Amino acid sequence: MNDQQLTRTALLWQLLSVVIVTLPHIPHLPYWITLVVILCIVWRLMVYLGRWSLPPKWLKTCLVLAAGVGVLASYKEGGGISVTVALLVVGFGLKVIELYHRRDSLIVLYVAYLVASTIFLFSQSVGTAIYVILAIIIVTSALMSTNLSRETGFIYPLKRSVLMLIPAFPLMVVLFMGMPRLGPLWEVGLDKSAAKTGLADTMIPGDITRLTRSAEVAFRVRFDGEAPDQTKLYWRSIVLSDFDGRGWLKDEEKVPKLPRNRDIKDNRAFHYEVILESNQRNYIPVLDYLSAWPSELNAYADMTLASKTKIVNREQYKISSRLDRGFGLDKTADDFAKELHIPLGNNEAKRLASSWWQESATPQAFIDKMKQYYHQNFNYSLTPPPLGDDSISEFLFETKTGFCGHFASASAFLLRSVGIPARVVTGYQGGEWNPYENYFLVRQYDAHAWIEAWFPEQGWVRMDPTAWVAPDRVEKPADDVLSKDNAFLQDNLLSAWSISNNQILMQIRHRIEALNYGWHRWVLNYHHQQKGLLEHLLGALSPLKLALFLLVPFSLVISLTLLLLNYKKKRSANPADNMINALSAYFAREDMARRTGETVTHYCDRLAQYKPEYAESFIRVSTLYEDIEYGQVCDAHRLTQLKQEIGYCLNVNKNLLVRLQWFLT
Amino acid sequence: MRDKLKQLIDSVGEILYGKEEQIKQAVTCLISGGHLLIEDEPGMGKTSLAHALAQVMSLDFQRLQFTSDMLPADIIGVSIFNGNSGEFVYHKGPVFTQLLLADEINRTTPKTQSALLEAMEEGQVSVEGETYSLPTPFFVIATQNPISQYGTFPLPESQLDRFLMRIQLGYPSEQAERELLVGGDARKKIPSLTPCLTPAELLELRDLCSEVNVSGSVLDYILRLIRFTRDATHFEFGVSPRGSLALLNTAKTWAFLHGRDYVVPEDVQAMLQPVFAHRLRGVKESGEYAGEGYIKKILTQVDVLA
Repeated sequence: MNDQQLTRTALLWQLLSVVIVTLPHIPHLPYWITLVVILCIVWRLMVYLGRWSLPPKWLKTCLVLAAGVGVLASYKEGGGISVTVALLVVGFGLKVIELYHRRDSLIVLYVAYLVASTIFLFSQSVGTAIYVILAIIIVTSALMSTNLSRETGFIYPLKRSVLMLIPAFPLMVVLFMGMPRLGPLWEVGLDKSAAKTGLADTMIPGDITRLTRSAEVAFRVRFDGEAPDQTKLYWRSIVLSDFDGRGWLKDEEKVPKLPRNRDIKDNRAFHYEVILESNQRNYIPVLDYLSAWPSELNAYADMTLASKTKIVNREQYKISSRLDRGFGLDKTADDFAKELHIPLGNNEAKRLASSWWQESATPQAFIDKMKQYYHQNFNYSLTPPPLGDDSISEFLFETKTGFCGHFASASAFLLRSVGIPARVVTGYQGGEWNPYENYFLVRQYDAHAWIEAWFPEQGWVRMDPTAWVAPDRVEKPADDVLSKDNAFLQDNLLSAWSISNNQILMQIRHRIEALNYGWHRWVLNYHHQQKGLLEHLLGALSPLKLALFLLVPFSLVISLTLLLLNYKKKRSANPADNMINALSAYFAREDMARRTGETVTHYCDRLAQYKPEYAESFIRVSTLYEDIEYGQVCDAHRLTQLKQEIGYCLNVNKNLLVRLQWFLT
Repeated sequence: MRDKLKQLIDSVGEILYGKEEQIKQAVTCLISGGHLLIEDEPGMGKTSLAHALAQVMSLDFQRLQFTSDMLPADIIGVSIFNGNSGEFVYHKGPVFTQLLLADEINRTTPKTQSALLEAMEEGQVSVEGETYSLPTPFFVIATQNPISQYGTFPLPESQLDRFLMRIQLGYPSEQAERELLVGGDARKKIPSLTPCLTPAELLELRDLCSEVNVSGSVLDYILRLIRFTRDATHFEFGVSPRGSLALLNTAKTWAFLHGRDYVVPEDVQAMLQPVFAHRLRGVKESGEYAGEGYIKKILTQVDVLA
């Protein structure tokens, strides 16, 4: 069987499946591998067309050796799993040129399944999943065509494989839902650390321009219950308290940890779930004041939340925050040496602050003056001119143009100059509300910087100087405000286009985003939902319940498929035939089923001999059937009579199951 | 009419002991208006059967022994120059008869075979531009030796297709052979058989048989059988539409012969072997025609119920 030559249809299917599973790997493989695979496919195609002949053995050996050396050379620096995939693809491609017997094609197809699954190592989007499912269908069709002994139409194997895979689909879903997740036995390192945008540990004004240009998703948030107002969504990530004259740095000293809060069911708190994209750092954007957080995370007194290791995969956290509660109340002004520290320089700015301070009676008046000052002369821009050493003074008196970083930096400096403890907080502001899936999508361009000032009775108070200058930046989603600015997203033409104000495009984008969100939440990060969902479905979990949850749908699907196959075979439009089939099915358990091709008369004769006590009935059945089917005297009366006779033969009233079966015919 | 048929079959049965099934098949074939091919070893009673049938049906009978040096003119006749009238005069060959027994048809060359087969198909003979009609009814009962025997020219598929049925007589049972030995040479009794049917009655019978009812489910069954021969991989080629028509017509006659005015699947099944066996060729054998095994395969793989 395995030595048989492949049919021509089968060969085309093999080539198609090779193409389809190799395509997604092209971007991350060395280009020569693509060339080798194309060469092999073209060669085999020419053999198929009868132009060329299969390559000689020495050439094949040379090609294999060369490919091996090539892979080694291409990945001299090591490439983790990529090397394996490259080796797999190139070997798989080379096998194509000796695709001749059925056993060759089996090797190619089994490897094709493996190669198809490695696509997921590089991308896990919805599109990829759909593509891989299609690829699996095509590879299965190729397998089907290999096993068909005769030449068929090109589409026939596809039809068969789709029919075959349909019952497998619910099983896949059940397995996905119920299968206990084991921790990974090993981590697959795909070394993708290179250049991921995110917030930095330092803020030197000029940094965040780069960030705002990226439309990459930073994280998604779903609120349990009501969501706070857009203007209150300040996702704090990093608190910068050290100012060195130009830039703001993270506090070098260890910030004390926040004691764990036992009161999780705080009904004044907002409960939400953050699905964080990999950011190569360990901060997690949260709303203040933090009231509950997962135990594997550390919360700090400056109201930031961080994971113990770098976040390299997409993660999901349940967090609660109380927006109405202040913090830092237990401190006194003496605790804020750091938050009051002003380095040398920026003397003009200091003078300006002290002149305001003298004119104002309360800190609030001082802040109002600051607000007023910004209002008069300042512009919000993503492309501010560069600033020199005295960055604050230059900004306040000369350029007067900047974005959130500039305003935050200057405001904190002014506050510190007059003895009010202040610090800069970076994070994200707002987010895009997706009405279809009810969540906020926060992109990298939502990155923001604001300040916090400490007052004795109030604790830390958040102020957003940017909002004083450009209130739109806070009230509307960032893309509405910023899209008027040329620098915004200029790296990415396509997303600039997609973020236009067009209503329909907006809707489409929301839909796509909603789909992606659902995908992340329910498929890629399903292990976070699994326990909750299963408990919701099954109540308290036990191994028995879980096993049943897995097994019951399995047996259901399999028996349904079998029934359907049987039904299709047995059931015919003809009522008399159905009765005879029921008769045969009944006697099948006594090994007296009607054989294929056996006429009803002959069968009834056989039954009459087998059960002489019913002989007369059987003969009547046979006569009635003959009249109905062949004698062209098919009337309701005879049909009823036939049913009665067969019912009598079957002893219908004795056995409940038989009665049920009989009733169904 | 049925009584006459019964009588006819019984009369032939007196000549051929224990071969009632084959006699019925032969009669079915002739009533259905087809030609019959009898294939068996020499001395099995092929000629006797043909002769007896001609006698009881009161048909003109000609017997033609085919040899390897026979020419087409030996069958269809020849034009000979008449010195007195100064013209060519056509002398009819032995084919101008109502029942022609073509003995050992595969002994002669394909050229001669095809001359006969053409006459069978067209019901007429053309010689030198002139067309002569053959008498009605016109039957050919051809006998042939098994292909494996030495010195034979096997009939090609296209010509086999023209025979409605092919039957095999086979050795008689021990009981029948004893009667045969005791009763002496039955052949001598043939001329003394009483004719049971006139040619006109035969044609009337043919009409009656064609009126036999065929229900939809039987038609479906026939179609399934035909499709099986075309789809299944056991055969090199499927049965032709002529073959399917042959199956239907013979099944009708068979049903009539058994006293029914409708066809049941049993009729179809009974006709499957004689009608299909010579029209199918298994993939593995070459030259041999599909044996009984293949027909059994069809019967056990195609279901009677839809």
